[in-house]
Amino acid sequence: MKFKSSGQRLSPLLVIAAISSLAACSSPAKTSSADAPARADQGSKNVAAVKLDAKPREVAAVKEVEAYDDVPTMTASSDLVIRGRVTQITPGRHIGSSGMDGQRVRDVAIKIEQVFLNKTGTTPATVTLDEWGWDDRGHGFQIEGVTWSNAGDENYYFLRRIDEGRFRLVSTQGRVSVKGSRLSPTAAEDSPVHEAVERQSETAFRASLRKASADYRAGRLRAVPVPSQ
Amino acid sequence: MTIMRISSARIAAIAGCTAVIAVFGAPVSYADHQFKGTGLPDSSTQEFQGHSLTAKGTAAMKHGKQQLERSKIKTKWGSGDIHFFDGKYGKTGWFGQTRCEVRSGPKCGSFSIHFNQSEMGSRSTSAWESLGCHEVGHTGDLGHRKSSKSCMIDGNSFPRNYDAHDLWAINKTL
Repeated sequence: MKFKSSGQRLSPLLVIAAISSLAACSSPAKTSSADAPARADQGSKNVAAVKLDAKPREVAAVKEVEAYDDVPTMTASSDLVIRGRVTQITPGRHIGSSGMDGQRVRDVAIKIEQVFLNKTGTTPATVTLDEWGWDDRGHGFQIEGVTWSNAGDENYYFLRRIDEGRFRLVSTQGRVSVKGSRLSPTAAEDSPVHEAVERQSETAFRASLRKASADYRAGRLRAVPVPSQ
Repeated sequence: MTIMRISSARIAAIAGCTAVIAVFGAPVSYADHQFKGTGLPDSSTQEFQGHSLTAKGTAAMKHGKQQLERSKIKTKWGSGDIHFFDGKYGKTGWFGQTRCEVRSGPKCGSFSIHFNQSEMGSRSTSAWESLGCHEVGHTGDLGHRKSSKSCMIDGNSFPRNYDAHDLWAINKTL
């Protein structure tokens, strides 16, 4: 099983959360319509006043734009591959309209310690990473195996640039955490990427990133283009 | 008699295989769902509701509903269980997202499904229908697949329907 849902380990809390959620998000009267107006029980204007969870309580599943079968290809396909340290996490932008549609991003500030590949044309000292997130009730959720970051975390990141200074992971496979002498990838446990990363030492992993980067620059390794529309 | 001995052996083999399947569940080929979904449905009937959807979002929702109807889960229109949204959520890296909104232990009483117009762009209605099939599959506790014949495949591939394995896996949740 891929997910180690923190929600599963917090069952008493979840029972309380479920009760409070039912109260807070009581559904409108049942309709036979296939389409109803967006709920406006908590508008985006009220987001700042919502108490935000300190831990995720749910794991969201997503159909991703990008998915990789191996680390070298993921490296070559990224805009920026770094080792970095998380310095700060702050509430970020709001997306969606309101109510159940609304979500809020976590802005993860990362101080870059080492760059393996950089196609961005700049050499930033820090980057901001989108991380998910909170719903409009302030309930925390993570996406797939990407657990929430904490200040001080040291990770390898495979990043896609969204705009100036702002990035997302190329996919939910795109973060490898350093836990003492172990590497802990966010990729699914039964995926080739997870298996390839987990069996390596950090030294070997770092060397593999340098090699993939060199192979890409020499034309020996091709990037997979981001799917177009 | 040789023929009788072979037949007996075959019968024994079939009986043995049947017993193994009965004891251990589905064949190995039916065990390749990569990840778990977002939680077990709390009911064998699921109510679907769209919230200000675009035409393609509506097509995705309706196709997901039709696909779920192929399993033992029944569906109807209503506000109880699965809520659909589509919007320009930006370059998030995901085409669609499914999340449990109201949980009760391992079961989920209410799901939200978000289709991301920003990433789907001008993709065809068929691709949107595949996305609807995919996200609704997560509400049936389906995970991702590697099979290109299943809408539960991840990435930039859009098969429209569940395959037999998906339907078996959804029915197993009930």
